[in-house]
Amino acid sequence: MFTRRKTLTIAGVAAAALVIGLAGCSSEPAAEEGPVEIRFTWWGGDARHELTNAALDAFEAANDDITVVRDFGGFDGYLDKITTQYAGGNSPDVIQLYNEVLVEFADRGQLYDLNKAVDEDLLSLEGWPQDVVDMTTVGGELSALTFGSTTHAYFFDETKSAEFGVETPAEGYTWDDLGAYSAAIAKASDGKVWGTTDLSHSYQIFEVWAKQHGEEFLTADGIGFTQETLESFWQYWADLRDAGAVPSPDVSTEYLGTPYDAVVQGVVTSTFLFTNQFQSVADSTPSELSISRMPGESPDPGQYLRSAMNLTVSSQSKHPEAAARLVDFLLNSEEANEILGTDRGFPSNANVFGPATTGLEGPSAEAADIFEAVRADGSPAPVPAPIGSAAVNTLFSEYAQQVQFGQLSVSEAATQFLAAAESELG
Amino acid sequence: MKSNATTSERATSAGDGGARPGRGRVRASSRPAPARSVSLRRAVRRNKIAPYLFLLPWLIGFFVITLGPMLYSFYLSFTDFNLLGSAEWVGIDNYIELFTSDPKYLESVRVTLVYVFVSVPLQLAFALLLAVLLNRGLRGLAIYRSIYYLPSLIGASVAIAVLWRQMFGRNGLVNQVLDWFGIVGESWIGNPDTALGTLIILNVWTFGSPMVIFLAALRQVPEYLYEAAAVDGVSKWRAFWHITLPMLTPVVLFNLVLQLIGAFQAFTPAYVVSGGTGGPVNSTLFYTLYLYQKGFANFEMGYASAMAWVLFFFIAIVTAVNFWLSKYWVHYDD
Repeated sequence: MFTRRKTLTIAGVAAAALVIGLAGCSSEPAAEEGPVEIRFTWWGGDARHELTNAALDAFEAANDDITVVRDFGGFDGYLDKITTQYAGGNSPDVIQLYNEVLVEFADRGQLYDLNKAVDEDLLSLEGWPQDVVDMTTVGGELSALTFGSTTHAYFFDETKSAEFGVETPAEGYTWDDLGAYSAAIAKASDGKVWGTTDLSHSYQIFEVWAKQHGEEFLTADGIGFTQETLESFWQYWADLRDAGAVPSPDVSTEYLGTPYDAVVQGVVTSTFLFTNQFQSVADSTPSELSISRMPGESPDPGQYLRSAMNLTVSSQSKHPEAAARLVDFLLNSEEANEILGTDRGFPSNANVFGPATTGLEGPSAEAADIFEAVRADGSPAPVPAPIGSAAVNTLFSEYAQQVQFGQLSVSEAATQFLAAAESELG
Repeated sequence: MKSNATTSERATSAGDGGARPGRGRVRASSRPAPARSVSLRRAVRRNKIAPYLFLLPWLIGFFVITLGPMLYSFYLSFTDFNLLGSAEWVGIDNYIELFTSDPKYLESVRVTLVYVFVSVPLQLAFALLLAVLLNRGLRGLAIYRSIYYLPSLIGASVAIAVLWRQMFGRNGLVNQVLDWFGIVGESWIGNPDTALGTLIILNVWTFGSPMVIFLAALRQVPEYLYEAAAVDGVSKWRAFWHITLPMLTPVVLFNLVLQLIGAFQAFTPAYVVSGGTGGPVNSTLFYTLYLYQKGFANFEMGYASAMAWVLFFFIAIVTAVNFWLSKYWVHYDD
């Protein structure tokens, strides 16, 4: 009996969450009078929670007819929570959502068309560049607005590099310069420390590589690159591995999700991150860090101003007007942006760029310079990736790992990945 | 139990006189047509209802939180359901896809089978060994028992999985110890050849709960068997093989069934150690981890439900086979 019960329990695990969600939705109060209650959910670290809560307090002070219930936590399990709440008809009203799943939600009609709020004068697009608005327009509907934008950057541990007597590459450096730098660090440290992490698994890096070769990672129609370009990318990292210039694959695996930790922990002396992460990474190491653009940015830049995350309103929201007012406040008010600063990235609304970035200094200011450099000379942002792109991103990492561990050759992996990706994108 | 039932019976009859409409109706009709209410009251008197009242909290939990969702997931397994839209009926397509066109699924089955059939026997052997050692009347036995049991309580938790990640990482404790002997270890969790091994060790390490059950069973072996053996000049080793082990076989079966079922459903260690990816290169892609990825990362809840039901039937079959095989090796004394 006992064992059977246990067995039954696990078999029902997936659906259990759904039904609990359903049960939750029936108890929602029909608040006709008094303050309207809306729920806002976001992910982040403690610093972001503090800033966001302060901004929400300011919103409530200015709008005493709206109460914002705050639902926040780390990134782990974030999407699971939201999809489960959706399935139970109990989604939050305002949702911080990341790019990779935006189309999945929008295409299935789960997001409120913010154009309606614009028409009703609840939400203003003044100060928003059109191409930024286009980035979050799916099927003619304004599914989201960027909630902070950012760009790739490469950062170097200057203190460690100096210790090993290796000069960090100067601005305008190529991928080969990076490889030479990394090999020099590995040599100077007797193979105990490497110059950079193995990034062959990262579709975010390959996206830049593809753009530098005049191609795209994913377009609205699917695959945007040639097999030749992919092979050149994977071959570049394979050569570095063979030369002992990057860590062995088992070490790389440990830093798959957070390559910058490899620098903080002294395993390597450089890697990539996004500009909005630079301040907190710099805070977590005693070393002096420098930040620069990605390698190989001339003559054809591959970096672009990417949306770090988006603000969306759920189509299940019972109070889309109140939700739109919150979105408007967070994105367009000077007050909110003064509080929020650049923790999520830089604001897309040019009118609040000033309030968000006043008083920036140290690493944040250096990151802002990189962002401005890409704004002046960068590649156009890609259109929203099609449904199935999340699975393709995972496949990219899996095939790259099989190359790392020597289970597949570069060309075998590229051929198999392309076939698998095409079937995912259907 | 009995006095409780009587109390509830009394309470029920007292309530009969009250204004509860349901009861009142039964009572009113009791005079002209007594048959139904008499049987009801007889049932109450015979304590046939009281037990169910006491069971009610569990029953509600079972039907609402377990059985209902289970049936729903069975329905979902025949649909294409992306969590956000509505479920579309696709018949047995999900089941066909599982076995014919999803190599990653078959890989997850392989990984899980290796994990289960390596870690469970090791774990049971270890538990039995420790139980036998602890059964030799050590001083402070209760303390040792508690210490060895501890990992069982916390072994499946996220905290321990995080600890494992630290221990078997490149700069982890294991490599630091190896370093004393001049061995430079790699990252055990980052290498596809060893990552699953670290999870197997983790499962073996949680040997406490089968150990406690073995320990209790060892106390049940009649002393006179050993005395008789001693008289015949039987060595301790042979006494173990020919007395202790046969007498323990019912408990071995119990532990085996329980641990097999638990191991098939292992999730947390693989999720945490691999950062949710099942990597490196799918080497720790447990069945439940892949199920979770399909359901919550790829929005294929119908497919994930089908996976859950295949696992359910597979565990049921393995358990049935175990019980069937048990008649060949389990010795019941009575």
